[in-house]
Amino acid sequence: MEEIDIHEIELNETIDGFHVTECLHESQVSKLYRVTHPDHQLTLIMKVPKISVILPSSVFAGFETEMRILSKLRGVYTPKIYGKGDLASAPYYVMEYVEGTQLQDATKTGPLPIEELCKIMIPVCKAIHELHRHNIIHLDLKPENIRNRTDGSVILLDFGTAHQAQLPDMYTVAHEQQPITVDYVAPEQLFGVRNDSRSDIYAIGAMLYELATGQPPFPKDNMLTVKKRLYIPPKPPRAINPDIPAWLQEIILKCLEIRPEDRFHTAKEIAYGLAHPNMVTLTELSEQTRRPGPLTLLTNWLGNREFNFVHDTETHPQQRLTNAPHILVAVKLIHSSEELKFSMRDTMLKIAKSDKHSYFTCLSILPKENFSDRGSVDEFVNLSHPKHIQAQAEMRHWLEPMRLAQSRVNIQVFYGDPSTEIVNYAKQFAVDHIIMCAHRSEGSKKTIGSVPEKVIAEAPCSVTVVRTRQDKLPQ
Amino acid sequence: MKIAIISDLHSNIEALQACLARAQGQNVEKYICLGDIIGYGPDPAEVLDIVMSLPNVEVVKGNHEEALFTAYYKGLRQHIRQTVDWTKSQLSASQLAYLETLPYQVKVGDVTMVHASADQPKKWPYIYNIELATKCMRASDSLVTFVGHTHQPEIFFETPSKHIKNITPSPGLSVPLYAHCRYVINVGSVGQPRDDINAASFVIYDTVEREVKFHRVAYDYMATGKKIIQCGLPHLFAERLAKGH
Repeated sequence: MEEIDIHEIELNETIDGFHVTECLHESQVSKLYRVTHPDHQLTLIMKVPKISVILPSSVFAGFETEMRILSKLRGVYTPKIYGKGDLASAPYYVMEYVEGTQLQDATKTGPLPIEELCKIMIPVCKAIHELHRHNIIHLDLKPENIRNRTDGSVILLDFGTAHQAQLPDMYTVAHEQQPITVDYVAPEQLFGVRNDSRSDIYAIGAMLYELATGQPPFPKDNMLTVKKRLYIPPKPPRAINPDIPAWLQEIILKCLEIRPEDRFHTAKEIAYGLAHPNMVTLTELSEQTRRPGPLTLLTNWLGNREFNFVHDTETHPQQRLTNAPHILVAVKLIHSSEELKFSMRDTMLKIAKSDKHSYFTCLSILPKENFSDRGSVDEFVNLSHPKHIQAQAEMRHWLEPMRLAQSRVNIQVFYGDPSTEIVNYAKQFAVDHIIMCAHRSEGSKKTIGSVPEKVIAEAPCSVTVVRTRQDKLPQ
Repeated sequence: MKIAIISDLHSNIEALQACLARAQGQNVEKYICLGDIIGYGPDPAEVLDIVMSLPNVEVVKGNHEEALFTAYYKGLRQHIRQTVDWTKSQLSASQLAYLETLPYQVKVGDVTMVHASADQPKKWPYIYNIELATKCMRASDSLVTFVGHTHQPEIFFETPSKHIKNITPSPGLSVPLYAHCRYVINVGSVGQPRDDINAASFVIYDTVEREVKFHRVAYDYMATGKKIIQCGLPHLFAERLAKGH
């Protein structure tokens, strides 16, 4: 490395119109300043690396990684960037100040009511899913790196140790001390694995554990003992807080599986489970009341060696997401011919077979007028109204020949305008693909029907419209 | 500014035109050619004319240009010497004079451009491993060095802890060049790719964003292959285009 002549920005300095007014935080490697700018009324924060301390080291590369990621993500789940300096002469970047510390506050207040926990963590999971969709793995997720804007939207911070799939990784793991946060670090990260998005899934599990029980999964761990998690799973959350439902313990312990391949593949599956508890398949994880016995720990200790975690082949986060797609199937059983029902099922089955981790939400949408004589929509949705039950039963019956595992199919009955409900659901749960049937109203000239046309126009993902052959028999 | 960096064109006009069409659509303002404009392919004069007419072009010499004028020729295998002789017969005196005076290495802004390696560029070493990439990095007076010669797109980079790693870049993906890290970037070959992909390879370097983007461009290699055979050049060179190695 040649001689480096870089200016470190200081208090009361003005650079590119940003005036540095106050030092808010100082870490070993960087400083956070409050800055003002005549063009911006917002509270702005400037991050400046401490040049004398960090050069030449990976931390400077980490600063650049963070700056580039924040620029790339353009403030959707990250702070908005308002300016940046030349990395070769005066490195800095200026971002919006994100005040809300909802998650961090929640971890301090002890076990949360389940409803509250889901309300906080579903958007967090979605934000992390978006990160993975951009092929970025955070690798240092923890409550203090997750904040909220005043509108409640989740903002992820601190990408200094993040990994961007397919791009050069400046960390030489074996030779550099990477900062790790003991409470949330995944087992494979202890071997220097930096390219597995399921490390972030582990961190989500650790945060869920902390919110549900009031303590981290390994409360006594420190830098010297952290490797114990390679063979010792955490104490089951229900052993600490018996109020935790079985489905939540299932989700938490699945996130905290020692081996990445045993965890959820995507963060949005966790969001989905938190939003649809009845869809969580309960395994022995949900029933655990204590840690496994010495024989299992011995097996884990013998089995979970470095080569089990370090793989030559890399699966990019994006690939992992496409391997576990969430498919929304919108089917109008009442008005569909047997031929069309068969075609819909056939399309669904082909996806189920080709993507073995795919999972389906089958949506039946009833018009609101169906129950106008029986009360309000809300009342109807929550109740066991005969038409609601009938719709579910018909869907189950239609699905039966496919013999899909229960955990892969979720039946939902919604009410209202079909295209609006389909598009809203697809947006809310980051659906990857919509399958729906063509329905042409009598007399209409539209080829596939107005509902599919509207869904195609507004859906955030691919839409497959299934129709039966339209050929006419010769006269 | 966006700079298109092309290398190892090897008299393949179909591949070159496809790459230039792609580059023009990306608002490229400057071109750099890392040598081996000629050799192997059927259109040396036409390809050279195009290169010389590119906007703000800078060109370095490749070993195939060297073979036209120096004893390097003697060390080549028979079928390659045959191609060098044929190529020489196709070029005008002014074209030959242009090629003979090309520099071995140029510095453009803060990056170095060389055909084979900044380490002993006149000996034409192939950078096919980390050790050779390290030698190139140490010999270069720039943090970023662009090379060709192996016909295989690759990025070697030095981490802040001085360890050299390499990646095969994905086409279409912008790769950031970190401010204080060293790079050797092989842009691949326009006219004779050898990484099992039969599409032309080149790079666009964005000097403002400090990013490189690798491009792979499909072209009519069948047409080039037919011309190779019609010119009486070894069939092997036509087959290589189809196979991409």
